[in-house]
Amino acid sequence: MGKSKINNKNIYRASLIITFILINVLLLFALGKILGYLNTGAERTGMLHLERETVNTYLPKVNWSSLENPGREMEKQTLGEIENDYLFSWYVKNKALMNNNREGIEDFYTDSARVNLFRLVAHNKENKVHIEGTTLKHNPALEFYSADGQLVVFTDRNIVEYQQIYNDKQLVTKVRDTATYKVMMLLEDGFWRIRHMKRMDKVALEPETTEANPIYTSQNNQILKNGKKFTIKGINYYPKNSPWDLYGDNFNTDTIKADFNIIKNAGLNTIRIFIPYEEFGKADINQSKIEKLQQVLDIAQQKDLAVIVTLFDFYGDYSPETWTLTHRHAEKIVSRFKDHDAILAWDVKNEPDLDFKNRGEDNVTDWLATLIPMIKEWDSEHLVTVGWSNIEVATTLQQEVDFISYHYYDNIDHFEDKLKKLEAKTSKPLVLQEFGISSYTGFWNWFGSDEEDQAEYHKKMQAIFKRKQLAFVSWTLYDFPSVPSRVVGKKPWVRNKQKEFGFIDTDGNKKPSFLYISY
Amino acid sequence: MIRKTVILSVLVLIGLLLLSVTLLPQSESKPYSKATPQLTLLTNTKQFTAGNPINLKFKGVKIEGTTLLLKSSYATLLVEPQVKCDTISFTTPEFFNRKTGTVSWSVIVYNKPQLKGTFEIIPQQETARIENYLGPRSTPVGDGHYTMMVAIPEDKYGNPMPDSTATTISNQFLGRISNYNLPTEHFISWKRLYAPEKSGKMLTSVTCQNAETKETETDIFPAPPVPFTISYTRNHAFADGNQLTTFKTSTLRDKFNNIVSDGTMVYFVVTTEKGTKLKSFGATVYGMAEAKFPAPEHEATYTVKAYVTGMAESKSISINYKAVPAVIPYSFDTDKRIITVGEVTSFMGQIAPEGTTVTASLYAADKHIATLTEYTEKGFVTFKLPKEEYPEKKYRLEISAFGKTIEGEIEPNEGVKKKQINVNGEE
Repeated sequence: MGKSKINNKNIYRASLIITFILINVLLLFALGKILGYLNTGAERTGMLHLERETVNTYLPKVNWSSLENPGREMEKQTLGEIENDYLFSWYVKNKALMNNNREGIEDFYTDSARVNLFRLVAHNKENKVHIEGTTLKHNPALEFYSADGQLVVFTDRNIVEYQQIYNDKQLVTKVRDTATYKVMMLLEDGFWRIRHMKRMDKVALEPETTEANPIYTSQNNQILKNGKKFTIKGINYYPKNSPWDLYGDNFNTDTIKADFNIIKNAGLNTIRIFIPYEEFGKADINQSKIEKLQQVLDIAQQKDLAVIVTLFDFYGDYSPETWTLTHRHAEKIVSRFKDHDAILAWDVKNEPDLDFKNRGEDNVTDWLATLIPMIKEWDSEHLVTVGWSNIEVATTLQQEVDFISYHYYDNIDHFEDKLKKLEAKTSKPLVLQEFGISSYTGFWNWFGSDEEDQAEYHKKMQAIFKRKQLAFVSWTLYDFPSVPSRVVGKKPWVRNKQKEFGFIDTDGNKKPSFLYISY
Repeated sequence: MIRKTVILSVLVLIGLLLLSVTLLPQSESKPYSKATPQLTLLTNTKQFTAGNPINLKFKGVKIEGTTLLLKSSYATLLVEPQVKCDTISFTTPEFFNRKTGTVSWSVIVYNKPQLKGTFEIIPQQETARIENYLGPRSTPVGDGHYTMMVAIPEDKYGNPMPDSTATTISNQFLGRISNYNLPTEHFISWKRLYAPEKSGKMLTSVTCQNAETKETETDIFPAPPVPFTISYTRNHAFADGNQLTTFKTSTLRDKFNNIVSDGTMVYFVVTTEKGTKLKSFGATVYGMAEAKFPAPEHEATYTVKAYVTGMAESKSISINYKAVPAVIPYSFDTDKRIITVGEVTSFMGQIAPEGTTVTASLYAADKHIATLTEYTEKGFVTFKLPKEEYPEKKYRLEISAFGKTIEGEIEPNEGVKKKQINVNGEE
């Protein structure tokens, strides 16, 4: 009896202590919450409007043509502020139409202008319509800037706008249109706000004429170099020790020179390399990476190798909202190398058709169709193509590209038939931009092909190429000691297979297939 | 060979059958996907006035999934059709009709635009109000300075009127009223209004058709002042350390003869003979500013100059202060060891003002021991000489006030006892 009493006492004690601790914890939590709540509110950056940057969201091309105006000379600083706030007005409008809310509208539209958007948002919300869109290009010309620096009128000529209209979350249609807007903005408490906006017909703009002297051109179904037929005999290239990481810490010009010698001596004339989108800094290009790209291209030129530069590796968003960021990324790279003689073509995206299912075919193809003309505008010297992952979809966007690129990893026996079908559907030059076979046999792949089978495969392929004088770019020069998981995922049977597509093994020995690297 | 073709054709047939089966559910949901609907636009109007209902009519049979996409200055929206016999019509929402600009429309059938076109919404005929902005709201006179009026005539829905709408910008200044007839361009009409050479207020207003604005005011400020002169007034010329000398500027004017704005700050700087600078300042009222300095305590010449910082300055003037014929009697209490100086008198024999500085310098055997300073109270000051600090038997004494010095001797232990000595040392 006595013992149980003691136990009861201990239980009471323990429960009292635990309750005490719990109450304390709850109190502290509540106090923390209250203090946290009191600390919310206006941030200092909010007062100073420092957060108004669109770098990571929206960067359409803005091209002020003329700042001449009868009112007052435009200051560079003010012009920057006007441009920034004007773009924000589009950005918040696009956001509002997408989410059907009013967020941000008050900051960039004056009292009487914003009601128009509020009514629209309410109407679309009621009708379950939402619109995903972006503007791609602005060509404003200043008409008037008032003496007190508080009012500005400009004509934004031929705004290119892309919109996807959804009704009840179903895509109704997509439009890409060009229109001119006359805009009046007022400076109110530190924000330039839209006061009047009038949509007008597009106008004729004088095109910028640049004389192009391209080395590589396409004519009918042939690619020409300096006017003579050029058959691409190429290879996809990563150094042995830095697969999918050409511009990383292992970057070494000696390695690249040695590799390019091997490629050149093997009788090849072209390499294909990749530019990872995020690693290169998205819209804000990483200078050290682009310097390394410059070195790779310079070495290729020394060794007389043509280069197909594949952009946007590992990019996979495609939503119209982020399009303009990709445009700035491409613009910075493409316009920097527009005069580089080593480049044969810009391959806009590697295997974009693999994203059709997850990202929507419309998003992907519209993104490409929008970007390709822009790349041609920034760089009239080089060809443009898209590296489709299989031969069946290769004719997608064939009107836009200069030559058609496709990859082939299927059964070798069906290759010629499929090629014939493709040839029947297009008159553009065709380039088999990736093909190959892994020589991996082992735990994860008992019945796979070995090095002899790989050699046999390439022998057959090269025979076909030679017979039909086909352009090819094989996958790939080296076996890799490791393959990053972001390339093919984490499944070991896929990753291990991917390691041994090379013509040279990890020890630097030529595999039997090396004999059939070219014809 | 024949067998092969038979097998092949059978296979093809099976294939086609399978294909048609798989396609069936899709084609059910889109029964008209193959046949492009024949639509023709019946509405001939290419221009609608803001606020009026807009109705687009088409001849044709309605198909499921037909909708009208509209894009205007502010809006992108969809309009559902209404069907009447063989016509389809689309009525735009009321708020959409209000804003002017080019409208692009396209009839969407199954996600594809079938028919496209544009029309325009134009502002109403009547100007309902005028939005106007005037700035800067103040400007200096003349010299090409100006303010600018910007006017945007609008209809009742706030749409800017079309280009070339006639507006009149009027302004008034001192009985002169000017009207400027200006057509609008890029929404606006505007006018530079140059500042007159006289300061004052300028009124500006705008009219357009039957609408007019309120008056807006611009302050025309005087320009910076031109060089000016200063003068002074004082009661007497004695350096008594008490009376105030008042320095005053002439009326400060700008180059157009406008009196400078009230409150213009003027700095007066006095330079003494020793190079010491004294500074005071005053703000102008009706163009004049003044500042006061107390007289020095000894004979002096002041050089005075006034400045409006960064804009204008006066010529310097100089002013003399005469020495006060002071009387400085003193006595020494040998027991209490106290020097009493007083009653110090000023230029009329009146008691020296409170706080007049008196210094006593002590020398023992021509060696300077100490200088003591006190300020008079009812004409008297006292200096204590405690034995511990001043052990000598005899000191020479120099007492100064109002710039005048008298000399004497004291012998603390025996010395004079309450001995009166006058100014000239006579007993």
